[in-house]
Amino acid sequence: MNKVKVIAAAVITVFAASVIGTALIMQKPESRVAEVVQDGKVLYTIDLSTVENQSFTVTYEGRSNTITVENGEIYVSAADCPDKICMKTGKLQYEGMPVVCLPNKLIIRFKED
Amino acid sequence: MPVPGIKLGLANIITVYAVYHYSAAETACMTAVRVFLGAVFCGNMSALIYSAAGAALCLAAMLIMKKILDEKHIWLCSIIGAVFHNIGQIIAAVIVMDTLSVAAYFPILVLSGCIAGFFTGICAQTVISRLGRKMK
Repeated sequence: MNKVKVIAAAVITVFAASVIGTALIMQKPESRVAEVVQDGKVLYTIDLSTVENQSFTVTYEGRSNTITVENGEIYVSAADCPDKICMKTGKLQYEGMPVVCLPNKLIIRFKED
Repeated sequence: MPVPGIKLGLANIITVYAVYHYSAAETACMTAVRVFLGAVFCGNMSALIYSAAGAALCLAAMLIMKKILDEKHIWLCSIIGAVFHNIGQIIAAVIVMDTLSVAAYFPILVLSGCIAGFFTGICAQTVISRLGRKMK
């Protein structure tokens, strides 16, 4: 029984740490510069505070993601991937939560200074 | 907020039950088949590597925990399996995407993993208490 208590305590600790971690990650970013990264390479660096509204498309292995910058925010507006999670994630909001399209190896994140 | 990788993991109800009632080899085969078929039928073969990595670590962790936790605490084993599933997914994502940025999702994945693992664990626990010891 003792082992169970130790393990249960460890699990509760892990859970508490994940709650704290999630809260820490969901902080507004300091910079307004976004990076569009595909397959490990930075394709674009965009200053969201000064850029004009626009859309552009990136492709990977024949599949595309359309990225839209609008009113200083960036998001994936169309995607060719199987699950479309990148679109459902919505606008890039937190430094700790990049917009990700795993099948197309695409990441949109705030640039680290 | 749709986050990549958050899911209820209902399949783990079966996996954790199998860990406690079938051999490791049988459970491993079953897991490999359901991961592969799941990816095929969901039309998402590109997600296969994350699913496989998560399932592999989850299974390994639960097989190890089986030696420490008895059947009465299968729900705890399920939570641990879920957390290791998330660890496997994140490691695979970091390697495939060639960046640590995706690891930012780890806390929220573990948070949902603990909850989902608890839920599926309670389901497995209920199955076991209802079926009794008559089943192999």
